[in-house]
Amino acid sequence: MSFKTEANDCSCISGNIGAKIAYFFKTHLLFALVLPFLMATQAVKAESPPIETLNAGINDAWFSPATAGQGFFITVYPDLGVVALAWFTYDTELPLPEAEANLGNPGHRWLTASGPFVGNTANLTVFVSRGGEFDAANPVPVTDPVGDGTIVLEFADCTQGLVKYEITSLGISGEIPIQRVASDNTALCETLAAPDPIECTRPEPDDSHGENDPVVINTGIVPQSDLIEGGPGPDGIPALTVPLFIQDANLSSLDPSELVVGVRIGNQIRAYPHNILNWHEVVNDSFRLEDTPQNLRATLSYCPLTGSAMLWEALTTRGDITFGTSGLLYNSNLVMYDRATNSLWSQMMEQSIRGSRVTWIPDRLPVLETTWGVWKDMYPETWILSENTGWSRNYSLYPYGSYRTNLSLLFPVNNIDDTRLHPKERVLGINVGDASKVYTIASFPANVGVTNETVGDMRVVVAGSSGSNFAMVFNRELEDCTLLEFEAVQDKLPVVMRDNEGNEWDVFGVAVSGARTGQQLQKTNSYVAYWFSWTAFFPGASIRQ
Amino acid sequence: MNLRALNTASLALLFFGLQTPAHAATCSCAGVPLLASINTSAREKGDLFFNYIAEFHQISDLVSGSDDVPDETGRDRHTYSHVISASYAITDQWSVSALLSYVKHFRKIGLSQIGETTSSGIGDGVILVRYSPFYITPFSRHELSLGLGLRLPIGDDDAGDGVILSEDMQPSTGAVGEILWATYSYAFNQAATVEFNTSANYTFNEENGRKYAFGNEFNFAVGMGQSIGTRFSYSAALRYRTTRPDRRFGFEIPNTGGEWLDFVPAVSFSITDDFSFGLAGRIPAWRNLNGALQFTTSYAYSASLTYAF
Repeated sequence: MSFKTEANDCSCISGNIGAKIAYFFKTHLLFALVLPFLMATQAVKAESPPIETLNAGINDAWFSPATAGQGFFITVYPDLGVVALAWFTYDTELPLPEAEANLGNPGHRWLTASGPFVGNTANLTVFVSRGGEFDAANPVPVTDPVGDGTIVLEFADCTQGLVKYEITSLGISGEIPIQRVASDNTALCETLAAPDPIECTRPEPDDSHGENDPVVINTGIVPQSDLIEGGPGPDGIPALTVPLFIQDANLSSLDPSELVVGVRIGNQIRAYPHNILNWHEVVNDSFRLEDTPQNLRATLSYCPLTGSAMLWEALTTRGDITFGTSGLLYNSNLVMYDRATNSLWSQMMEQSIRGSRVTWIPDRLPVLETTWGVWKDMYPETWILSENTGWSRNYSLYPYGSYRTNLSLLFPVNNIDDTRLHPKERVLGINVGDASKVYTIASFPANVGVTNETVGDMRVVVAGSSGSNFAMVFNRELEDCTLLEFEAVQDKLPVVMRDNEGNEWDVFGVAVSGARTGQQLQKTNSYVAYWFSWTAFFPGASIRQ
Repeated sequence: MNLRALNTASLALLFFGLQTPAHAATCSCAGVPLLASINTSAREKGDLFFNYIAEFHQISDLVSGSDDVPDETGRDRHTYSHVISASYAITDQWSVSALLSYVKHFRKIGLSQIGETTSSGIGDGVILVRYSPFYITPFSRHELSLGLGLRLPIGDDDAGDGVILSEDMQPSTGAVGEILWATYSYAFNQAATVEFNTSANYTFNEENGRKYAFGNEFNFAVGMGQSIGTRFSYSAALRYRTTRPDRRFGFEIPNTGGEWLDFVPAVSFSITDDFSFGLAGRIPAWRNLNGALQFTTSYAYSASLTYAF
């Protein structure tokens, strides 16, 4: 069966891009007349990087040197996700010598095709229209919407493509490697195909103060109906407001395997044992700083139900901002109230959720949770919170039975069906915008392990040790947009990592040697918590196990 | 109902009064004296009486195991309960009782600047069917009653001003409970002026809509009572109570459940042949509570009125 079309056949693309295609042919038809000349003279081949997605730089005249005098106009519509193709070719046999045509050679044929593309491949339907006349509105050409075959169009790079055709009416198929007739658009194609350049704008965690510029982070504000009473009532679990500390670590009877929340503010190093925090949950504390006459007031909080610890700087310099336990829970997590306005604050959301300070976000200070044994080895000069709290509590007792290890949840939480991990698995979680990732403490090597990663649009370094029971994550992109790469440093705690410039950094993200000594890696929105609570607040978190 | 029957009913109420909180809650004590209010029953066919108990229950003791712990938070947690019950004897052996409660909870932490928390509303109801094969009469020294009942969550269990209050602050448990109930009394003399009483009951607590279930509860009490003259009675009882830990989502909740032994003194005075008035108290004698720390009963006292038709 010969592939014969009438001389007045025309292309016709159905759908909303028909007008665009019509414009394409109006503007390129004249060029098509000189195509054989161009095809014969401007074959171009050049080194070009691979492309992942078709772009407008593909738009060009393409041909195969083996069949010069024939070729394709290809147009990519990136926003529509559509490719349109015009194929200028000839009949499958030469016309008889006596065949005549009013315009051009009787053997001239052209086909059109269009269809969607995904990545660097387009799947097109071939259309054949008939019944029209040159530059005449009537008769109206007719197009079979079913088409007459398919074309698969692939581009390995910006200079080479492959046309795989199958013409249904003829039962023929084949492949045509194609290249550009001219290289003018190659640079555009390669530019569009290149990955987005790295912007020198370091993503910042949501740590704005909030006093003058309230920010609502993506978790939103908690409806009152989602708050649940835990039982003891407001201040039923009493916060510590005048904490006492013991400096000689050897005087503490705390078992070395017990977890503590470690804090270092300036040269003030303190440990807050979980066994005390389990009973008080909030410690309103102050730190004497060397370079300012005022103490830094901060509130350390620990929620035993979610296993999460935070340190927030006092909201104002008035020094009257302290927190108490509200007796409420959100997602089984501690909700505090500030004693200046009675506004409620969600610990794991790290913001005020109700009251006159709703949406305020505190200034967050880094903490490190690890065992008492590891902490005092890292910082022998540490002070430790004394059990002489003024409250009659038996700190040798854990108040929640087997809660730390069993499957039970004491209160309703969101996303309770996400059981990818044991609910009480301790994870280091990081949240960047809509992206969230957790690292189980157990997933770190017994010695220090360090990984350089990207979470959301933030490049971070994650360091941890299952043997020493700690993990932390920092932004590894500095303020000047220097991007550091880190590797682990072993047996040198509190130093845990070294960057590609040779600087060594400690567990609080402070450079302790090298040219950047004294610099501080930026804290991220991250903390250690039980898995069930992290996925309740940040559903969809990816997991590194 | 004659005066002796009224006295007996009053005595029974006094013996076992205040003995059975309706729910244990997270502090294992936020009770409403439901079953205590229903311990008396009509005994002769056609008998009908009404009973009203008003109770004040202070729940501010802090306990670790069996040790009292000083509570420096200045907590004041108490519950007022008002329970109205009616009992009607269908036959000489079978009777049916029903009660309705109204509850007001109060909580204030002294050191907290956040104000007091209160909740109030209709509490649970109970329907109890009893079979009494024999009574104390001039010809019999023994009395036995066996019962089966249902605790019905007809009241409010989602109290709170926008925030769902904890389970122990809810007027109603929000869940059905199945009740097994029995009492036995022995009269030491024909006039039944001195009696020995004992009672036991067990409640299976189901889950409420928040997947919370109060722990199953067993009560056992023994006591002695004496009537002086025809109108005045007094009694003293020891009540042992044990509850399983509360559960949520099927998991036990720490710091709930335990054992209690209370001393329950009571007096009753029959104002007329049909109308009596009583007072009772509850004083903790011993307790051994689960977990590291619980708030529990400091004391309770109540006043009751009984009217017989």
